Amino acid sequence: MDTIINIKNLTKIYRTRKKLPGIGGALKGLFSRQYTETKAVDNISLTVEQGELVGFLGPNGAGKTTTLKMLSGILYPTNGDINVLGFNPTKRPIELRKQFALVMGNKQQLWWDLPARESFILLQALYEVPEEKFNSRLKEMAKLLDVEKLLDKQVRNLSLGERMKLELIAALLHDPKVIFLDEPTLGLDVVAQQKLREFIRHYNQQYKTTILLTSHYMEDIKALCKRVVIIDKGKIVYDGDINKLSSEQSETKTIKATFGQTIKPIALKKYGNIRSLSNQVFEIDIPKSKLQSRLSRLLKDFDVTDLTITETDIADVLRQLFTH
Amino acid sequence: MWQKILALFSINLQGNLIYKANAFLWMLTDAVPAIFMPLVWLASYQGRANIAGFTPSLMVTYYLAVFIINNVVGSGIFDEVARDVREGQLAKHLIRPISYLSTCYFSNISWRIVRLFMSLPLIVIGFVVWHNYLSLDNLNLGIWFWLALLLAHFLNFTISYTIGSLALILVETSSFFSIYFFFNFLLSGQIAPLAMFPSGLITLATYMPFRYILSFPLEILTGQLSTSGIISGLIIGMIWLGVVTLACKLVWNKGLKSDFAVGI
Amino acid sequence: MIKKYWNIYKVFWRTSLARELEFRANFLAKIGINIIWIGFYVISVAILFNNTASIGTWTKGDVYILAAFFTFVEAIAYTIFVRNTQEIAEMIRNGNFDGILLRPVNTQFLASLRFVSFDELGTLIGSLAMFIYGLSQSHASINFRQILLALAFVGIGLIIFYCFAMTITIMVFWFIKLDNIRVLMTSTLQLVRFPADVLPTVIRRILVVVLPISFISTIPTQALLGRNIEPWAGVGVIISLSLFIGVKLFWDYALKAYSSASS
Repeated sequence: MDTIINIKNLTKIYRTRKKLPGIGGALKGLFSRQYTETKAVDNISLTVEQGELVGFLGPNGAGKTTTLKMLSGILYPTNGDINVLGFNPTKRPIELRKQFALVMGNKQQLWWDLPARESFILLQALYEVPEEKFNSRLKEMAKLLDVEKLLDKQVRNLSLGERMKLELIAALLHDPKVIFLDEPTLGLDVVAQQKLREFIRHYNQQYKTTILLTSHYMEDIKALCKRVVIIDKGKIVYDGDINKLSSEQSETKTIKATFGQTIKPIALKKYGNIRSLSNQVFEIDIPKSKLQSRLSRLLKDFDVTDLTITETDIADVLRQLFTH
Repeated sequence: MWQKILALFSINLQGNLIYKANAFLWMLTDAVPAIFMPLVWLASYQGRANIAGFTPSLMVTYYLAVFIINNVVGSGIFDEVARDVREGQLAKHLIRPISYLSTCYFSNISWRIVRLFMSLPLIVIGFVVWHNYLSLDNLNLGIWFWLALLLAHFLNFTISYTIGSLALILVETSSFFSIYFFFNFLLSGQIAPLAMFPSGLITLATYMPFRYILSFPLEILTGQLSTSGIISGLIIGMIWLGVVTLACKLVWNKGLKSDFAVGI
Repeated sequence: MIKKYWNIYKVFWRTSLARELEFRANFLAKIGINIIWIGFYVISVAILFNNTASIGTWTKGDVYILAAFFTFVEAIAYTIFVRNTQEIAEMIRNGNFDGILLRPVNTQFLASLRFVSFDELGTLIGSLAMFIYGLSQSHASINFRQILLALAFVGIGLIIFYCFAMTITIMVFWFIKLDNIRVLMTSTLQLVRFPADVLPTVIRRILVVVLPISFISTIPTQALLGRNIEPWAGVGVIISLSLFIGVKLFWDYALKAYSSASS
């Protein structure tokens, strides 16, 4: 399989001007300038093979969007090498621009006052998509996303969910080999989120297109990606199988205990992090090193009628990872 | 009460400093006719002593005076008001302890002061460029002039404020603004002293409010009016001030009843 | 490749027209206002000439022709690219400029030509009317050769106008808050609305070689009126081409700076 994306030692440092408050500060700002440096992306390296659907997960400001922008050639790295489909995206070769797509959840690329179809026709001309291919792809995707009736409505009259679907179609019309999705489900309701995820999964399976997806929603990544790259403060914290995330990275295991009588949560606090599912069923996160000792104590102190030991939930694992 | 005023002032001033370069650019636009129009007229004298009573010296003085006075008298508040209405910002102003009118007026005044200071270098340049033609002895800077200037200031603000408030009852205001500017430019003496106009237009201008925004104080300044002319001018100007204030009240009464104002 | 860009440009027209037709009522109002402004200008000139027979060597008719050329070129400029240059500034401010960078088309081409504005239709009609009126008032003799020369200068003037507008827009990459920087452009352009005779010779020269906006109105008018301006054609071509190349280089430089800094 081909390596589609190759990132080596990628770093991005921002310099921003500091603004001082008050009239005095504003006046001072006219004469001398102070800068702060932020490391948005810190020496990350990874490769992506053809057809992979990789998820970038991380809190806000972790560097996910910055990385995607550098992969798209919109942003120049401070250091490091990037290779996408054999090209250096920083040089923005037109050949490369024809073969990838970038969709940003909070940015609009369709014309506001016109029906989506007009924007599509413009994109068809820009990307030189042959008439037949354009029509068949449009028809197919509109059907899959159930937006056939919306193609001729003004974009500004549509809901956010409907607009996102059309934005996605706009990005895919030219049959890109690589797709970068930046927070595509941002601000959408649950139903819309699900529809979008199904579509992305279906598209990846059918066309074997390489897709990079960023999100801070756990559900997006869980639903779509086998491989997850976790980024925090510009560094890669984990890069691997999402199912192995808990077993490899978690400091805790989670036990689910059903008790014979009603228990007050306070009583269980000393065993670990508590989550009560009912007043007789609790989940407890116990550090792996203390698992045996605490478990035996629990069984001794309480009447436990049912017990399961599972991997800690990914969301909680992430919380552990990010608070370090 | 003074604290409130000072606070409003301070915020306006800070905001204005940030847009220092913006301000200067707007000023340059106004400065162009001040340099240019005298040039055009000077090329038209062709040896004559005066045109319609204006010697070259008076002509140059006129345009410089227009530039300086625009800074004091002018008012761009209509734009802010219309924007506040359209963007539904009025509600937040209406609940404050200071009336919206006062807020606008102070915004206007602080902006005038900033503009006056920023235009000083341009005024100095203007004096230097035209020093051959300027003569300040024939200028009438007596009490009548200052009264007329005060009238011009308040009249312009009130008209500007009222026009901006039209956004409360009209859906689209930009065409109205264009029409206002059209007549303002023509009949207020911005492009040329009203004395240059054919007599029919001059008579029309005397009874329109635009003259009292700019040309009237200038006519006093350049000694074109007799005392009776000054007094009748002041009276007409005050009448217009009253009429516009009334119109303003009507607009607000009707406007506050509609949905636009409350920020929907 | 020219075919590709020609096709794309045709689609720009199509999309812009579709957009304009969405706002039909406004469209007519705009035409009306434009014609009123031309009327305003006609009145101003009439007032001026109410008190004098000529400005320098320019008679009333000449001044109307000059005004017509200026308004006409300005209107075409606004139709084809000026609005786009203003929107570039907008897009950089709200972060939508990235979308333009993604497309597999020359970014300068896309950014400066993607919208065709139909706002100036009234102005185009009005300026033609003013032109005809000016011709009737002027006593100059016009022949075909002069018309061609004048049109050639108009072409050069448009290229120079484009370079002027783009230079000012490119500065927004660094001075983002300067949202009325285009005011600088409009005020400077006023200098060539009027007969060049009123300006000191130094300024006249500057407006031909340093900031060559005279090619927008003054020079085409002089060409039309047969005032021995032909030698300037060569200079005009050289100036406009160099400025165009200069703008392209400046634009590429600005894109690099943008891509290094934007967050």
